[in-house]
Amino acid sequence: MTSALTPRTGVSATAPESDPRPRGAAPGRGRRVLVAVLPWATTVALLAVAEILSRTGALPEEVPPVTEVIAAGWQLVPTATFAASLGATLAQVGIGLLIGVVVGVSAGLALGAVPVLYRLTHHVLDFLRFIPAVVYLPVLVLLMGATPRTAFLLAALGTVWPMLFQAYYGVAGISTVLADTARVFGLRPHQRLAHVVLPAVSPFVATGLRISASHALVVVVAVQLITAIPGLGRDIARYAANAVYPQMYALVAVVGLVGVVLNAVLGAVERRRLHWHSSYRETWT
Amino acid sequence: MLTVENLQKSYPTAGAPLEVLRDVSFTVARGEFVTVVGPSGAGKTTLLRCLAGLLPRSGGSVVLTGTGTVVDAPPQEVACVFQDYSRSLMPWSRVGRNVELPLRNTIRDRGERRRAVDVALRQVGLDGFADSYPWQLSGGMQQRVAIARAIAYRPEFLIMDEPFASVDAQTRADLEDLVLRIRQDAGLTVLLVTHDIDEAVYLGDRVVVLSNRPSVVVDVIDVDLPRPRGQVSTKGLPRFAELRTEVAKLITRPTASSWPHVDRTGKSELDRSS
Amino acid sequence: MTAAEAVGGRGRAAARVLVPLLVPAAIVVVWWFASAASTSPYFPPLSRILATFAEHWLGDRVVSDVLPSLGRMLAGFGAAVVVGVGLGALLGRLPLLAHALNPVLQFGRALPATALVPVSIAVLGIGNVPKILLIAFVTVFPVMLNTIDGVRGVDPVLEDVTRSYRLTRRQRLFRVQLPAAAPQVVAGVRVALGVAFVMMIVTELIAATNGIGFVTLIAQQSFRVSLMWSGMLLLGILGVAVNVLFALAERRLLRWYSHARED
Repeated sequence: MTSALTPRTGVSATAPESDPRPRGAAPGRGRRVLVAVLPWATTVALLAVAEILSRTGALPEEVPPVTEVIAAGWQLVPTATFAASLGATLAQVGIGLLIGVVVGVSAGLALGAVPVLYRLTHHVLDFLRFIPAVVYLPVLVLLMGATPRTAFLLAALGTVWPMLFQAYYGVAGISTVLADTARVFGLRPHQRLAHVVLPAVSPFVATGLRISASHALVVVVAVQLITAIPGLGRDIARYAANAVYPQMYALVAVVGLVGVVLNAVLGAVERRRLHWHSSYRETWT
Repeated sequence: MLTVENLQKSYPTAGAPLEVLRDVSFTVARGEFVTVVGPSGAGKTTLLRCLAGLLPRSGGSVVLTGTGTVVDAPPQEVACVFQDYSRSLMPWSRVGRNVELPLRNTIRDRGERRRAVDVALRQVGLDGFADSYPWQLSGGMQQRVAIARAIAYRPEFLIMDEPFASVDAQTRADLEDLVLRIRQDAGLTVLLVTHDIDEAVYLGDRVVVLSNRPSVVVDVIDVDLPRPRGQVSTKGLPRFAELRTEVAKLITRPTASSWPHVDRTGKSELDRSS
Repeated sequence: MTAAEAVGGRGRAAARVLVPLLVPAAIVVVWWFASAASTSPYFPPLSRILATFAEHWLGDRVVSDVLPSLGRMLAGFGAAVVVGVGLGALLGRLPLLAHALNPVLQFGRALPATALVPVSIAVLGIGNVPKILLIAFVTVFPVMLNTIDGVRGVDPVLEDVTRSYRLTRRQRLFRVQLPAAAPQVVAGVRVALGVAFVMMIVTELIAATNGIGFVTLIAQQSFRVSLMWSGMLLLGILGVAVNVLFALAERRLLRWYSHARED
């Protein structure tokens, strides 16, 4: 699922015998610049088309011109209200993620280390993992009211399952050779944990973290929309309810950018872990 | 059947173009079995893809002599067998389907198509395996499926790219004899690329010897060994030993002295990839 | 094999099936008895939740709420699969266009789907069609992006085969490129299914007039706690059922893939 959307430009000199599939013409400097600029030029062009369509009235008035959205965002972003909402959103996602990661990873490690535990509980876990966090929203609101605590508990519920299963797969996948080697060299349990288990699990956890973070964001925004606890989701709902559309779209764009940044950062972390993981696998299997 | 004249191929790269084929010329007569042999890193696969119409040339010409067709796209009368059977077969389709798919455009009638598939599978000794999946078969059997697919297509000209490079020695010998027999029965013209000198001499009527990259034709050796050939009888002939020594000498001849213009930059990278 | 061993073997087989059922059974039993005498307004007896479940969710609400919920989800999801695979196959064959649209597509994938619920209400209003369109819009991205990756990842050797045997564009797409991309397409569809289910619920929690999520939220707000719990129970069961059905379909569809990889 990583982005493979960069076209094969520049055929590498190693390719011809094994994969001789050059695409397109010789990649001169001009072409390379063009290829680098193309995505952004296209994006700007699409936004320009949207601008023209809404200026000419081809789009409904609920879709304001892009420039108005940008202007609204320009005004909104420096305000304290915006900072508070963004901060609240990030805090709810962050705290929820933290709880989910700690609980999920430790439970996953325990299940991986004690097979009986897994055998006893896997039906329950397989049932619970498929229940989306928003299902718990009514009961949490009932018990705790519309508070930020509800948001980060729901975010934690959304993240705990991917983390738990990823950590479990990581432990379960540790090769017996590796485990035996660690034992032969007389590593103590805490050393085994630090030098064998955690490194082996980390690429799986990194993948789980990327998936979990997007779950957490989706859940937190949903809670804010529905229960009006502070955050960007609540602000979007309010602007929508009052038909203040430029501001609404500006905040949707901001939430989208938060998603993009989360994805990019955690995707980079994941790639680093995976890179290390594959070289590690080549050595050991 | 096939005339190759001054074929050139270079790949554009970020720096200077990478020249793989400098000047390759040879002919293949109708009914002939020509083998192409060259050191690893010579542009063997590149040459083959140019001949099959899968890769545009940088210069020269490739013409099917009989019809005068200039090979710019894969021609109707050519079928290919590729080196890596595990990648050239479709793992989601059964063996019969794999063989049948190319026939959809040449044989309209479903029953007739079915029969053509059965005949081809029988010819390669795989009758009864039409409903297996490729991954259920051994490597040698998978390559037989690829060969069945090629002959069911009823080509006049069969092009094979190191078809036996990924199987064990015994299977390899069996497959070599299978190809000889099929070619005999169907009167096929065959061009087979290999890096194995014994194989090139054993199978071919003539052996085209390629140099290192950028490749030129070093020599074309006539193989005056009697047919039908046999793994034991043919390979035991003194003449077979002479021929393979002759080819080996041509291949191992130090490239730099005999081909002073050969540009060797990037050689090591190619060696790694082939 | 002796008789004792045979019994032992059968015993072990039975244990293998039964032991994992211990904890789920224990949970239900404990829940049943612990809540039996409950007077807490928040935690009604399980027996009452189940009675409410039968009365509502196996009664009139099947037609008035359950089917509309599932119908909207499946309509949006189905449309997204068709459109996503189609556009993905197209963009997979046109790398430059895919490259040009990359920022837009990545933004679409990373944007949290729930943030679009107010936008959809503002632009399209409430009712079935806006909900279906929204579900389709947000689920199309994982399907499309995975299809692009899958179609572009077709083995070059296989591409050579299809060209040298002069398969038509149509044959290449349907017989080779899409089947080869199937593992990745299915992975994208699985993600889309999860998103569709979440969006089914969330669209019903805001400005809706029917649906399982709507009934459950109204039940909470009007303090009909048994109905709320039974709605959550139903959503949980449906979430599991949808995923199990998908896993079964996936295993059938991709049998060749797991076998070919084991090889």
